[in-house]
Amino acid sequence: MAQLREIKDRINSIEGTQKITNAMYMISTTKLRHAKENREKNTAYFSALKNLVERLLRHMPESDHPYLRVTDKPEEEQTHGYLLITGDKGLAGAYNMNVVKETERLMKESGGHSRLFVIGETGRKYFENHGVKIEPDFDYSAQNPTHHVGRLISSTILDVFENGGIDDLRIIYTAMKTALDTEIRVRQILPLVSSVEKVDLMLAIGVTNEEFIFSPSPETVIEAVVPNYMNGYIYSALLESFCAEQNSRMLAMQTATDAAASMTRDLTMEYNRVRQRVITQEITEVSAGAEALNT
Amino acid sequence: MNSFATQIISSDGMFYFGRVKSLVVPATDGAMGILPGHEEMIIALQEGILRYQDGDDLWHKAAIGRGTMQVANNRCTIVVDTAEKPDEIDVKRAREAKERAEERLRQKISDREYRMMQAALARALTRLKLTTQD
Repeated sequence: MAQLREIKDRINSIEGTQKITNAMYMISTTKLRHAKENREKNTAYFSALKNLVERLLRHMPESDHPYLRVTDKPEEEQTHGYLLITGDKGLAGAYNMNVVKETERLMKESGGHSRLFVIGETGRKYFENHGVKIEPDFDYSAQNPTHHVGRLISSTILDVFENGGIDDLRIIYTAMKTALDTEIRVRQILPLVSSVEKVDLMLAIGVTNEEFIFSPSPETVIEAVVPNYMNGYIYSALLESFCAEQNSRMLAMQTATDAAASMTRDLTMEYNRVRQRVITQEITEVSAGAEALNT
Repeated sequence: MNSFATQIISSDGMFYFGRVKSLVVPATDGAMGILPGHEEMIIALQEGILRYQDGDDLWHKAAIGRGTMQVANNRCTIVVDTAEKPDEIDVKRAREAKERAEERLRQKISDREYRMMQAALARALTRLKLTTQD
């Protein structure tokens, strides 16, 4: 009988967990829908912003502006800044871990010093537990991104950059590759470098360079555009990541719910089998007893 | 060629897409007018009121945040973090934001915070200006 009770308890406990995972699945579905809407609205802006900056860099006369100058310090003296976007909560599959692992890989690869700007509670916890120093007083949440948060983050980091605290800045975030699939993206924001090779592009297309006026001067344009670009980029990356987080959580919770369902099914089967065995045994005992009395 | 294609893109979507006869934008060194056939340029925009004349000669106004404008091949692309029509602006919220920013500016704050508050104040003032005039 003890075994029956045990199985029943396990079934109950799994069903309890399943209720929770199912609820979390429902919640993340709703959140994902909102996040997707926001992301959808932002897509035009994000791509226009990227195109515009690409174009700006292509036509920018040679300049020694700090936002554009690549540091000439030797590798081991450089300090790399990393802005990584993780979630505030776990239970989202490999979502948080992927960002963290990618950051660790970049840190190991690049050598020199690193400064980590971590958005989201799980990322901060991870690095604290592993004894990696992260920026103190940089405790922004990944939940419900707003422009305000984007501005706060970018102005904090720009401040560090301008004071020579970091030599470059890379942002590591998760983007929605397709409607169901996510992927890690890494992009250098500071100093601003074109992702397209300048010379190659001109030769390939064979066009003469259009002359752009920068009003009042190229430096002032850069001065105004870079912080704005950073705000926009960070805000958009936050939206993307939030969307990806909800997506990962939804998938993780769906898998958990399905796993719970199949476990309950197996256990119920076993429960019935054990129950039948017990009954059979009782019948055998009773009939054996009756047999004994008869003889 | 008495009009040019214009796109105004803000972070929550395409704000305006269509042909424009004349356009006045708030550049960092004052208002700047763009007419068809303008020469190629890239300029930075700051918080302020943007005006444009559409195909039916009607003037429209919008409060915009910081951003960039690019003119090339008689096409104009404006990318700003926010863009709002007068009737989309929440006057009460803008007024509160203005007071909050002013209050913070009076206190002793870091350079960084000062710049941010100044920007916040500029946004709030633009919104109020657009809703109270005419």
